[in-house]
Amino acid sequence: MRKYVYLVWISFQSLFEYRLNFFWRIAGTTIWTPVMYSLWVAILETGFGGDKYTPYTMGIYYIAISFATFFCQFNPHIIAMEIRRGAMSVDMLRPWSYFCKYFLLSVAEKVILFSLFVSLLFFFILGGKVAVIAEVGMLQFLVSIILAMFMGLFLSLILGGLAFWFKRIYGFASFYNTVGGLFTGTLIPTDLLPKDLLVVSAYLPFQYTYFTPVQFLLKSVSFWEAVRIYSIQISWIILGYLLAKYIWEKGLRGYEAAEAVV
Amino acid sequence: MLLGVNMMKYLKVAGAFYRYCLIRLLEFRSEFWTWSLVSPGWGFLSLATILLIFNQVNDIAGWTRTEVVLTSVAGSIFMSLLWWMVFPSLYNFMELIRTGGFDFYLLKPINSQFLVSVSRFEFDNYLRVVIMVGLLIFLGLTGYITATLASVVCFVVTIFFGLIIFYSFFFIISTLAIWLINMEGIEDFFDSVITLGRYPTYIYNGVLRVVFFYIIPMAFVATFPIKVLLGKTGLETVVLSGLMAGGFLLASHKFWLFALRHYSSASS
Repeated sequence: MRKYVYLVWISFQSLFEYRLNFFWRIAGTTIWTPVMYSLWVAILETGFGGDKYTPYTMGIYYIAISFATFFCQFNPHIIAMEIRRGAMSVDMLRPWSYFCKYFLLSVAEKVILFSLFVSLLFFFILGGKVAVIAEVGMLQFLVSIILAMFMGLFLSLILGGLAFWFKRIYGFASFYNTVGGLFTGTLIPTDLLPKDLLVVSAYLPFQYTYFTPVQFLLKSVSFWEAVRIYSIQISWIILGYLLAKYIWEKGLRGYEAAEAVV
Repeated sequence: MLLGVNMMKYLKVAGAFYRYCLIRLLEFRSEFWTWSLVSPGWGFLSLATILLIFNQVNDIAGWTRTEVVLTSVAGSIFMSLLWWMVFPSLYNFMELIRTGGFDFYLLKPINSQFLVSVSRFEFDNYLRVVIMVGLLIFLGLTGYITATLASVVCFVVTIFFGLIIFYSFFFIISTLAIWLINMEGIEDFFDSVITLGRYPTYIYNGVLRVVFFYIIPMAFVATFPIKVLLGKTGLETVVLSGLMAGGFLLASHKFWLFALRHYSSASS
């Protein structure tokens, strides 16, 4: 157990060693959020979506979506690079699970981001500026976003595991982002999609990664509806884990490292 | 004569890197074909989102569906050209700083900023450029947009100047790697900035408008080129973009020379 605690400690050390790396990633999201908000305020002024969103709730939506995007994303290219460069062979000799290591090395970033976002929300709530969010909604959101984070983790492991067969995985990662972009709620709130696309979206995992957790902040959700959503997310997590495990077992069976970095 | 010889040398060097990168890419054929199919998909996804919205509304901030679609298409072309010719070299440069390989670039008998700027090309987005340019031509030929030859030429020139502006802007940021060393997170920042240029910059108000017009000049990604193409603005925009391109390029070169004076190798 102590070895995993050390991994978390390494994660914090690495984050504070290159603080500006974290800043650059935040900066990109910081620019994207007000731009999407401005775009959607301009759209709402025309009447589209006005029955579901106001400029105020759209602002909360995009702040929360930006946080969810950042919090639930992992970088599969790190895995691909380690497989390609042979560093994976060294990791296989270590006395820890690679899945756990991959997750724990990103904990620092997620903890800092989580703290920033929750502080921001409390700041707005205490200032009386966010009347729409109830405490229950916050708790439901926190549970859902953590489940969404694990969905993102296993997806990243699946995409990264493709590097056992393909030298570059940029195409696959972008394919996921391209298809998911429409349904995750980043480009357009998912509930503003046409009915046909909404039906399709319900059977795909995308909306349960970003859009669904954010909805807990914007409207009151009953206990049983929340349970239904959590069950769907947990189902996708289990499916993701099984698929990742299968891909990695198959991949490692035939893995040969040409160059190992210690 | 000397300038001509020098120009040929620089063109040959750039051509050699271009060929090397193309050969390197074609080693990973399955990845190449996958990306070739995915890349245009991303462009069409943006268009699909806009068309979904315009099924319900007539205009956004005074911009009609045609204009917003054209802005998105021009933005896709612009993004793809940056990913093709600018970003790969800048990421390579940051990696060279981190690993100490940059020293060898400084020893070469050629302008170091040029060498750093042409060291890598990524052809993944070539099909998106081809398809989006084809879409623009198709829209012009079918009368969906009306443009004169002069406005098309001005459009191309404005896009070119816009590429120089953003190359210089991102080059200045990348040069910070000389002090900061590890800038892995910069990819997210670059991607976010350039993706947002797809939307008309007139949707912004207040502080955002000042930032996105003058500090991060996103209007030069697609908004101004499309206004030029549609004849909504004239030669003054082309001249303005030329002046800004010159100014940004000069600033990037001055900053590069300043940064090199502070460079100390990690190891090589």
